[in-house]
Amino acid sequence: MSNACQRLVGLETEYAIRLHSADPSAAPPRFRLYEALIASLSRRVLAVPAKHFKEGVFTATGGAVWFEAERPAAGGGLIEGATPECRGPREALVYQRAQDRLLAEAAKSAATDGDLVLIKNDRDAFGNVYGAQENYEATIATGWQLVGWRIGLTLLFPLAVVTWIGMALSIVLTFCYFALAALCYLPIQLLLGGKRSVALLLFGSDLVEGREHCIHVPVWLEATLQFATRLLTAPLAVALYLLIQAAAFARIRRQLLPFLVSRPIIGGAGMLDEEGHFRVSDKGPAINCVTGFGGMVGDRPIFSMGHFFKAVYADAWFAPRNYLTLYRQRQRLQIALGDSNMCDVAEFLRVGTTALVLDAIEAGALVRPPRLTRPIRTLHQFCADPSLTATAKLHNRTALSAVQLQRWYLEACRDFLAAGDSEPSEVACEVIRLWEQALDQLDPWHPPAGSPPELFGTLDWVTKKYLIDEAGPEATWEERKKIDIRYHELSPEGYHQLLVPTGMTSILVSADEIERALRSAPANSPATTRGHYIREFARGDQPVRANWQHVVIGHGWDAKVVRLAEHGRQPDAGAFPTSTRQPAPGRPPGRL
Amino acid sequence: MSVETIPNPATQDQTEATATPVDQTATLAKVVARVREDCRQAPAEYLKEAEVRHGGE
Repeated sequence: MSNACQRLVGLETEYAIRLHSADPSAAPPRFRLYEALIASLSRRVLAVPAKHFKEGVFTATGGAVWFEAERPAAGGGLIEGATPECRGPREALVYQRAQDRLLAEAAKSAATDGDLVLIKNDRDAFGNVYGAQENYEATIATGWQLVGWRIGLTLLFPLAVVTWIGMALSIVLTFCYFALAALCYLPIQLLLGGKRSVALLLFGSDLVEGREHCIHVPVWLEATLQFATRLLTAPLAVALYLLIQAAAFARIRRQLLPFLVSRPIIGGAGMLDEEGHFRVSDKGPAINCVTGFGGMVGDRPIFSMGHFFKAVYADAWFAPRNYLTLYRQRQRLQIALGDSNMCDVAEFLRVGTTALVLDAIEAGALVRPPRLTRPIRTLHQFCADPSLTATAKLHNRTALSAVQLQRWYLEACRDFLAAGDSEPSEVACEVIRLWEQALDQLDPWHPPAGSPPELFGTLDWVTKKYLIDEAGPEATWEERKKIDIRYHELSPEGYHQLLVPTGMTSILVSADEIERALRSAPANSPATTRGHYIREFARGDQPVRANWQHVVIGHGWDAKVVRLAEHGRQPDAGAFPTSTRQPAPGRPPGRL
Repeated sequence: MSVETIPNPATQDQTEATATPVDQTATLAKVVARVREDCRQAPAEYLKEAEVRHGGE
């Protein structure tokens, strides 16, 4: 059987936090809600703290839950769930559903003053954009481009070191500031017994009132440090960006782009915009560039390379050996153009079609793929057109609609599978079948008035649009927007959840599969090893911390480090890495 | 295995979970009515509660 649709896939989902309480003005900072959620989650599954600059935990299934905030001291933030590294789209869907359920249950029983629920969407009513990201293991380059990538990394290293030194200096300066602030505040404390407003200004609420926001600096200093960090890392960012543009995933980005730009008609979650117009995609209209670091300078890219930047300036700073991992040929391709799906089929197809197209591209099986003249403009046109009649101009002076573009890729993938030496996997066949079914229903797209269209319950944007339309012409923008957002609420009152008992939502994942995914990590993946060590040692005497690269057992110089980089990277490898030395029960492993 | 021989879990599960198309239509109508009613309950407050304070404010 072929390896199509068997690559490592990981899904990241940002969940908005909604607290319904009697006194909304007394709502606690988001970090407190995150802490309550994690306490509740830890009563359900084994979880260990993340070894990361970001606040988070890893669970025994190999996945993670993070607190995500641009500026935590300002009181904001949301919950990010990351599935373990999965083999293919079906496994990714199962673990995504397990994660949704786990977080929904943890939120329900979290100890908060009010009802806490999570909303799995991509944009709130005030224009804040967040949401879903997909990660695929892929070949970063071949031939001279791979050589160029590696030479570029080597040339970049001195600049990275200079940046690390600058970062270290900024930390020293921050400590100096606190020492100076303490000296200034000492007379106030001695003479007046302290003054809260001055203390808050100098030290921030974390130090004055206890841990609230997960960052121990005042709001103004946080903003200053953030600005200084961006300034400090700018030369490194520019150099890395140029290197990425020249050598990283160049062919994949070029050949995948028209597919991704037209993919919202399958994977889009739909959205009511500020003017009351319905959009096919929630996140698509906010995308403003093809490749970028994601949010660094207001960029919202289709291909997000922020993880490379973090790897160079942050991860490698903490552990310089991590820099070497960037030299590997197989790297993480992150796609930031994608909506948080509630429908199983939409989520399965969003990931499955992308994985299959990636397989075809890496095999060199796409012959003269379409090339868009203006990809971002085309994406916005497609997203703004629920009638699916808009067309995109191609370099060969023809024009294709989103459905036609998707059909081109469908046929190319079908030919790719048919030309293989071995039979395609069941998952690949399932992707092709559901993909074709969806496109057949969308072409031509004439949804019946007053009754649910064929793809109701299968594609999110179709389902949501029907519900919004059914609210009637008298419904206000706020009422229709509430449908848009509450559709994604992970609670029995969520509108998509209300639809499940009707039997009109296509369900691909069974309750048993979700139960299994809540208990064990995927096989043949780095998550297998991570989950194994968390299960074995989380209840032991020594502290356990984890991240995507390591599991660390113990602390200080005696800590044992399990490196996950080479575990479960091959689709045909065994269920558990044989190279891992198995420690005796209750004893941590040696350095592997 | 050909594309045609793959069982369709969506269809299978739908068949198990539902009774007849008439029932589906009636159940959906009830859900739509509930959504229509619920969306009118304090929508502005709901949108405010669901606001993502990402930290940039």
